[in-house]
Amino acid sequence: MSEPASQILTLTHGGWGAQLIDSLKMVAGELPGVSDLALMPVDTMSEFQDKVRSRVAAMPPGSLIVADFTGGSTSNVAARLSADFDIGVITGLNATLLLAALDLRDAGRLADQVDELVEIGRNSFRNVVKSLQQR
Amino acid sequence: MANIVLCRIDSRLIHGQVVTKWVGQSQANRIAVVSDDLDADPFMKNIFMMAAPPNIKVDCYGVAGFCAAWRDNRLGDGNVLVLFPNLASVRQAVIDGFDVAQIQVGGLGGGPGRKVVFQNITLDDADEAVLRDLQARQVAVCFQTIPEDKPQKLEDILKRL
Repeated sequence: MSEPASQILTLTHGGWGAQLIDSLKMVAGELPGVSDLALMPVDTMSEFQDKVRSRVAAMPPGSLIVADFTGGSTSNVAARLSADFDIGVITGLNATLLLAALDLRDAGRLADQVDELVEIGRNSFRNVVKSLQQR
Repeated sequence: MANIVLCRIDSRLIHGQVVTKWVGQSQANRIAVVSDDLDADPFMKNIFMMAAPPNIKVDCYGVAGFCAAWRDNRLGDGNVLVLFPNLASVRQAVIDGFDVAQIQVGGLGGGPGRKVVFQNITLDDADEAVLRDLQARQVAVCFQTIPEDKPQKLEDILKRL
């Protein structure tokens, strides 16, 4: 029997990931297995880590954490938990990346597709005016 | 000799506010993290090194090791941002010879029995005792989470307890 589909957990400062997930329902419909955990200003590292740990423990193996930015407590905590769980971790949450992860989870474990997702995230940035001028 | 450009007490150590704001504001080119817990945890140490901006060198010390290096002038050169995770460890460092003139309290986490004194900075009774001790040892203490905030003086903060 195959593993249950990978889930996606976003970790964001103040919880803006919840709004992003909600807004993406406009383009992607319902998003089962996708949720956000907010890092609040009063959280200590260990409190936040405990919250993330209990959330991750309930996710299927091969699931994915997307932290909002590199070097923040969100990515530090996700990095720490990668030692204890079978999960992939990416930093740099944006709409394109999250939509791509939703697509790719049909193809299998997201933790095995992290490099591909990083590349998609990287390519999501465009200098729009310059690209238009080069056409 | 190492030039201490900022000594900050922050339970999150290297994180968003430090990486995006304080490193640039203080013009630090190095970060020294002083934490016995972190010094004993190579995996977490790696994570914090990864969290720092690419051009910033990060060193991690236990409190005793840091103070010995400071006293013997073995911290090296450069503009150093020193991070402590809590007030107890910075007090220990001061006792052990880290003669810092000024420290900035940026965040001590939350929890039961802790009172909010400024922005999201909380203090408990033990913290208050440490702060009064640091005051007696002529260490200037200010409270400031991000550079955009006006730094708050310890005397004013203690009045809020």
